[in-house]
Amino acid sequence: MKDVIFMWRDTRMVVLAALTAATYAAVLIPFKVVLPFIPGFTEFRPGSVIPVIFSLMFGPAAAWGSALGNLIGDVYGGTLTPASSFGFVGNFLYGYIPYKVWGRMGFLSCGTEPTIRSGRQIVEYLVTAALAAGACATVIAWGVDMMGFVPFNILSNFILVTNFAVSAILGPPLLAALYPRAKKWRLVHRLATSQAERRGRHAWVIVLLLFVGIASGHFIGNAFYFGAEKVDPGGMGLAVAVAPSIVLILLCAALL
Amino acid sequence: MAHIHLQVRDLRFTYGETHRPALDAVEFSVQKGQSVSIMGRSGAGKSSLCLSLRGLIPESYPGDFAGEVLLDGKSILHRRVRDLAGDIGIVFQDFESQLFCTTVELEVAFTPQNLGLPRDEIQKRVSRCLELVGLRGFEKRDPATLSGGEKQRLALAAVLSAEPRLLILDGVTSDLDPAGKSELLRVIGDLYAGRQTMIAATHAYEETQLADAILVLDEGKIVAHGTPAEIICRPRLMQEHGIRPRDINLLAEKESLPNVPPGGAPGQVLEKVRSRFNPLKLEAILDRERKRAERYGQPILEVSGLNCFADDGRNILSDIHLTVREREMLAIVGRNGAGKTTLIKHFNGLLRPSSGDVKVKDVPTKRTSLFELCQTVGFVFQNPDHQIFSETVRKELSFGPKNLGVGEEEIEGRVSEAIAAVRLNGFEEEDPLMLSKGGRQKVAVASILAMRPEVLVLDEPTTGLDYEETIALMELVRRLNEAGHTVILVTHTMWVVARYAHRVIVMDAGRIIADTTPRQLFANPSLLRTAGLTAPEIAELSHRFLGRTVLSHTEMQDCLDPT
Amino acid sequence: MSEFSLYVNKETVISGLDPRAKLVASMALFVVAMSFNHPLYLLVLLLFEAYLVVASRSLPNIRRIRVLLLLLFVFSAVLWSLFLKEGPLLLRLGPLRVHRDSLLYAVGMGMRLVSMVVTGMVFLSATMIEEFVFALRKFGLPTPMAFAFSLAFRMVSQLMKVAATVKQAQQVRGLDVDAGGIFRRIRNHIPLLIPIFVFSMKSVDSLTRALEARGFGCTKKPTPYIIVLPRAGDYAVAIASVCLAAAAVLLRLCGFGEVLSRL
Repeated sequence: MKDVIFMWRDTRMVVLAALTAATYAAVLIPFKVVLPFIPGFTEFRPGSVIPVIFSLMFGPAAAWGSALGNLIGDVYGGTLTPASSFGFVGNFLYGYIPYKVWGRMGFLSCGTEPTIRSGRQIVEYLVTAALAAGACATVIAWGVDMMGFVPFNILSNFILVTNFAVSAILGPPLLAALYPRAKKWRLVHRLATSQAERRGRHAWVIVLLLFVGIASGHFIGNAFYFGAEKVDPGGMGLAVAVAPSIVLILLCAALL
Repeated sequence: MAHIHLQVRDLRFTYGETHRPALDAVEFSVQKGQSVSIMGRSGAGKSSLCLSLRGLIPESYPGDFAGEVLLDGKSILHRRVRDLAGDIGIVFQDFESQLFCTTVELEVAFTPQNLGLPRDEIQKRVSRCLELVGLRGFEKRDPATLSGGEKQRLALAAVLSAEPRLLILDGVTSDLDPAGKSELLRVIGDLYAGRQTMIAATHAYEETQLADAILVLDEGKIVAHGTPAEIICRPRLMQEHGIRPRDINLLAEKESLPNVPPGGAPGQVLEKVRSRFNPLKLEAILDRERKRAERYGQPILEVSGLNCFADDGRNILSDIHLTVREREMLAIVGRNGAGKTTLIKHFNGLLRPSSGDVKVKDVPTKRTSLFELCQTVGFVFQNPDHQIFSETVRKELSFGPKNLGVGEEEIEGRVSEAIAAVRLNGFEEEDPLMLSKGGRQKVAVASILAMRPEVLVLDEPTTGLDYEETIALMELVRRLNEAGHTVILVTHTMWVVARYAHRVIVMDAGRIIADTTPRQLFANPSLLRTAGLTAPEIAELSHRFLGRTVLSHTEMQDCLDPT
Repeated sequence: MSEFSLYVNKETVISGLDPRAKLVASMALFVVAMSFNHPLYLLVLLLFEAYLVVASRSLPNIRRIRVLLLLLFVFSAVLWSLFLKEGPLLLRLGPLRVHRDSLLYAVGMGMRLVSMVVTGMVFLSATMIEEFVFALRKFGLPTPMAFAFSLAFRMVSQLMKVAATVKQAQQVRGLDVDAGGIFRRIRNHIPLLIPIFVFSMKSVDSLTRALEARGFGCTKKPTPYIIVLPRAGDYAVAIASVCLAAAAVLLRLCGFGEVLSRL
């Protein structure tokens, strides 16, 4: 966790964070693939791959960059509301989790850099992307539901599916093309290389807990709408019921 | 030794992961108030030297470093780059990536702010520096809205506001159009006059005339060191080290006449050869040009009454009429913002006419798709980095034909053909992004060639290339034209127009103001002035002293009778 | 000022305020919107915001996102009335049921969403990005973060231009992004994304060295260049906003403005 604070002392990382943000904001808006049957809503934004792959290359700068980039999107799009703060946290996690979990998922990790040259690396990449997309989806959907914007189930599933699908489809070829070049240009964050070797003796426990947090939050939140006739007795139900999962996600993120 | 301001001792540097030294035993000194120009081809070590003098090498670039850089007798090596900001200023080639602030005024204040100077002092410096670079009245503007030349002058002001003892200019004019370049050079001229100690790296000898000395670098070594007069009067030496020589001096050297130093009278050379100038020989050249024009094929591109309106209703192009025939080689020239790029984007359907018609092979672009048009009209964008994405040159070249639905076997044939055309044999499996700028530009041209278009449109293809790279690229374009391609070229480089174009379209404020030949254009001073162009020196001199326009020193030699 | 900025370059009462006052006032309006979920109360808020829109001359900006606003409202209203089942049953459409309280809540939520977007829009129309960053800095955002934020804003317009050029450059090589099924269409973006990312990656080096060369990070506390001192009016607006927000929270705690006992 310390690295996301200390990176601000390094000019290069400051620039990298700003460029990640600018790239994210600049690509999110103009490029989108609209699913033919519900135009305007079901969009796959190819830009969603940026936090995951930039994270694996640039480390903490990508976390801040994704958060800032999403905020810039809100500012330029005219949708600056309190929900932007959840968008900030959600996208921070989306760009933070990948480089933190890579190489630290026990038997799932292959112990190499994310050059995407083997099947095992692809598996590790997919799990990484799923965790990042899941954490992002759960946190944003929780906050937005709490504020009464959109029901949890709609947003959580939508963000999870689009973010994961886009990162799964675009991530491997992009990483294969960009990672070696980023390395040549000395842009790869040192954690990305050293962590791959560390493998983290006990880190997999935290990753597992992170997964538990995401899965439980997602499940409980959805159960409120798809479950029994009346599962919201206490009024503040969903916000409170999902809160422990959110706390777990944030705690694991901090410990990683 | 108090008068020696900057002293460089046995500087050596090799970038990590490479073996060839970027700097090899570089040694020189500069006295206070003096300025030194550094010349050499791309990759000769000019930028590496600039970075070393600013301390960026070795701090920010890993590699093997040795030697000393002393400023007023003190080594700069153990000081952090950021702490040197008040002592040494550096302006880079790429103006886009050295501006950070949201207004012009804040940009200039940025360095003194970082140095923690008092606020009223900063305000004084801001207004003084903006005055110096001619940007008074721009204080509240967003730097992003400035032209390239204005941006570069702003970058200069932003460095000068720290009042550095030493100013380093690393290729600051390379990416500018002629207007931006001359504005910037005027400001730099004032700095020379004010005895600012300066080191300036450049490709162009015209920019070194005010310097006290020139260093010529090649392969990281100083290969020549002298006054501008000494260096510029040695055209062979310049050519040998990849620097564009002064045409008039090449001619003088060939004719065993005395060279013309900066500030000298170049007309003397022409006066001396005047008696041997044979107009009949020029007539023969003109005759060949006329015959070439007769051999052009059918009209392949016809523009009639074309108008293009911007979103705000402004007229970007008005009433354009133009016919281009097969196998022509056409240059489009004019100021930035004259509408050149907008016009050529109409040729392949990237833009559709607001009114009027653009026909490619008799079919209006309004009725064809971009996809169909790109098989006839190939378009090479200015910056090759905007299109290169593949891991190998071969894959990059096969992208276009693959999109067109060409079969595997034919793709292979086309790719080999395109590679041969741009002479990149042996680089097929290389990463295109790791090639030099000239190499990447060739890849971009080849990737379009592999689609076998009949017309080739190139938007400022030589921007940022050095002399040798420019010649290599233009010779390639000439070969393609001779092999049957119609070529349309937007460019700011007049000696390229003089040497290569058959015909010139001059644009100004969205209109075509002349449709002529290079020879006639360069013989027409008022047209040149209107369009903001400058004729190549030899064309201007021959027009003035011989009454006939000769386009290059080789053409001049062809027109001379033997002694 | 970037061409994407929503800032309306006109002198109005609102744009003349200190950015900190504007930020506090916007926060207060967000709190008010969050305090109530009854459509009537939210209607009062919306009317007040309509006045702000006029006063800040941000109507053209609101008009620009009117489709978005309508979609947000309808979307929120429909979803909440379908997913919540509170109060007496009003309507049964096959498997779908609409309950009275849920419907009211749903309409309220739609209004809340619109109100917040409008508040944000008024703020953005009346505040330059620089002012926004200035306010954040004054509220404790560390210097390098504030710098990264404003640098990112500056780079967006440049990257948008690069993105547009890259798209054209690949189109003339025969790329059709809209060809094929959904997966294929996502994959079609690879030739667009790589050059854009490479541009960003190459810029890192040049931006970093230019920044370092200009003394970035040389002192912990760079000299402030623009000093904006809040005036009495700015304090008044800020204090009034805080009071308004406190009053709204208090009202809600006393049970006013509530359809359902959730936020």
